Amino acid sequence: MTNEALLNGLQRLPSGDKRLLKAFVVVAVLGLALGLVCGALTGFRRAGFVSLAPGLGYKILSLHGVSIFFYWLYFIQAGLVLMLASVYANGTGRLVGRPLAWLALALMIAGFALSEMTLTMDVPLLYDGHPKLVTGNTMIPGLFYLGYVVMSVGLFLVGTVGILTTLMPKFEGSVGPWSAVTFATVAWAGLLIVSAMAGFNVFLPPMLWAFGLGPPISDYAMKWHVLFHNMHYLPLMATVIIWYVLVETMTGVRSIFGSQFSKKVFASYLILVPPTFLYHMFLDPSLSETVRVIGSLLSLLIAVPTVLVYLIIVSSLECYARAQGGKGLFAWMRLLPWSNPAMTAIGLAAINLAIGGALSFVLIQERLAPLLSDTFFVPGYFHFLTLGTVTLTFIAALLYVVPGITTNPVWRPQLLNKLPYVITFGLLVFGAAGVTAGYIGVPRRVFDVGYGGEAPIGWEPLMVVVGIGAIFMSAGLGVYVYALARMLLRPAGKAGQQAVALPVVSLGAKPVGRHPAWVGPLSVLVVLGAMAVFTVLGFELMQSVPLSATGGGHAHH
Amino acid sequence: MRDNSEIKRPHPTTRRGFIVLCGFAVVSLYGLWASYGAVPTSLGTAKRAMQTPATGMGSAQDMDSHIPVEEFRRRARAFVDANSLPDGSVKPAIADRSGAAYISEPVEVYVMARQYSYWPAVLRLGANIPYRFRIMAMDTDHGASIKFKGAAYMIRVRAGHAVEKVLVFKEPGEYPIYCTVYCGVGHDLMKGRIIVE
Ligand code: HEM
Ligand SMILES: [Cu+2]
Repeated sequence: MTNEALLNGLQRLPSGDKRLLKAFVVVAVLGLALGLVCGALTGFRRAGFVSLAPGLGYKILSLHGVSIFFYWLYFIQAGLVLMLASVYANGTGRLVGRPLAWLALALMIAGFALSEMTLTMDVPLLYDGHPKLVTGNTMIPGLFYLGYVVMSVGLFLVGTVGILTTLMPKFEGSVGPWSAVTFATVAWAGLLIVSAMAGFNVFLPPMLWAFGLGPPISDYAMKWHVLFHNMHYLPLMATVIIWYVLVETMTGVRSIFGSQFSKKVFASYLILVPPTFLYHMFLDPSLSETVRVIGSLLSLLIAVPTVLVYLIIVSSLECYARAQGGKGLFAWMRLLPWSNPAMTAIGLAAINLAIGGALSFVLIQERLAPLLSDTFFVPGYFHFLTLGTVTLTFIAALLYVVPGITTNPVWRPQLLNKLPYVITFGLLVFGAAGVTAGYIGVPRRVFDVGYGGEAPIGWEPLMVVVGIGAIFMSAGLGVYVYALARMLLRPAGKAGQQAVALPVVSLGAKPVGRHPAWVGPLSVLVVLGAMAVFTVLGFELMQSVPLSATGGGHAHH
Repeated sequence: MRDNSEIKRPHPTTRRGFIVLCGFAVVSLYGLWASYGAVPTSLGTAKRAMQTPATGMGSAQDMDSHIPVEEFRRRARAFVDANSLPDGSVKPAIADRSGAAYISEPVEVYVMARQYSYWPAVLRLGANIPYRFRIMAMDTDHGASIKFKGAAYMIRVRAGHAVEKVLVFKEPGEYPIYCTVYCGVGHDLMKGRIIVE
């Protein structure tokens, strides 16, 4: 039988917990919707499809980054981590410390409101809010930092409730060993707490400064990068945890490598992620060459846990599918439930992860930093991860969570099943043009790349292609947002009514036997090849530049 | 639950050791980096690899020349006053083009980056002559990227710090300079030009 831990667990939650989770999801989707509209406008503005005054343009870009990268990702992670903690921590079946979680939600909403309001009022600070950009009145920027601080307090509480919920059964002596999912949930909740503390660390001092209570800020960049690094690996770890849960829910397949092994891999995130933030700072004059070489080396290890979880999942699936008579190198995949929109979403998320991952490795080589940092290469590649991998995966999880807590069925599953293709197509267009633009120097965060007619050849046409990609990305994401809003806001179904289940298969009925698993390792090989190609392209382009540049040499004073 | 340990001899591709190996395969990118001289290949060459620029554009290392802001402003004014042409561009004088002196002493160039312009905005330089660029961000952080035919070369400048770089332009041409670090609403107005003659 297909594993039903997720569905049954969701339905058995006390109604108070359901209300709380629903509230987190509603605000998360609101953040996603705002971010989506602003992202679309940003893309269209860069392409020249719409015209906005520069001040307004940068406000919209700030709102895009803040709404979607901070608030959508934090609210949805909060909701999902609490969901996993209460559903998977054996024995509880409920949240421990629910009032604390409501307080957390209230604080995070206050932060959200402050951030959005201040960004529309003052100099657009963008989502990283560098205090050196603050000029004149510091009151509104102060409230902007306060927004982030208050959100961080909320996040801290969410992590705490998540951990309490998983630990409580242990204290009560009611359960034995943790499942791999419970273990991963604790790691996730723990890293959310780390993120919250990194958030205080960055935003508290500029807040105090802006309110006239503290000294000016001099070390913002380093602190910001510590937070930022954590912020963008955490959702990736969350993504592979969700894959792990959804694959089991949709196919009944569990890891053939044993749960002990999965736990070790999830634990390795805790060790590998923190020390690798250095590569964000390769252009910073304060770093020595030695530090940067070490930074590049450490960064190579960063993909290891994600590749391992990917292999655990794909190889387990392949092995089970072959045991069920699946054949061919790829044909076995037909046994997977592709008519389930959550399956399609995570399937394409895996492809987007491969593309985004391959591109990201160009940026960890410090010698290539002067070619690509701060160019459109960066948004060109990372949307494969933020939108194509992480957001698609979280939406896939919501296709289970929302019906589970509202008993409303999934809205038009066949239509939703096409959206991952629309979004991925849009991303391919956006990404191909964006990455090419980056290689030839088009800067990010610049709306008019025409430079008053002085723009190099190719810059403007590439931005038009980016805009065309953005149309498909926004359309696909827009339909998802509509579907989720409908499912969330419709009055709940009749009491006791079962949510209509999405199509699943059961690959787990028979013992596995001895079967090979080729697709996982093969795809790692392909990604490696792609990384090599993009890296070579970077080095060759750099060498083609008719310039020699060296540091200042002996010119000290 | 049903895990591979229950099977006597799992297929090699489904063993833990095998996937761990695959997971660490990305580290092989190191070989590619080494082939471009971007990372050390052995302890002996480590020091050299770190010191000599591997690519035409050199390493990302930027020097901070620790010139105080006011001193920098004074020097930049003096530089522009001494070298301005009637069309407003600035052409640094090359005092002695022969002999060893000029090889070891690059020509000094000062650029101020500020919201939302470069000063001087247009520089006229000679090909294959080393120039010691000192660029300071006067207000907030800025960038100063130089666009060539193919790629561009990016420089980040932190507020109040002078980045110092010796640049040699190898081909005549007109190269736009533009800001690549968001610096406020006029960010996309920041542009300049280097004309190599
Ligand atoms: C409909 C989908 C989306 C579209 C059309 C879109 C479009 C864009 C564009 C054009 C930019 C580049 C702005 C520039 O550098 O000039 C951008 C930046 C960015 N996007 Fe998106 N985006 C979308 C979805 C997302 C999602 C889902 C996330 C994260 C979860 C995200 C996170 C970001 C971030 C963090 C930036 C950088 C902002 C900055 O540089 O200040 N985007 N987006
Ligand atoms: Cu600037």
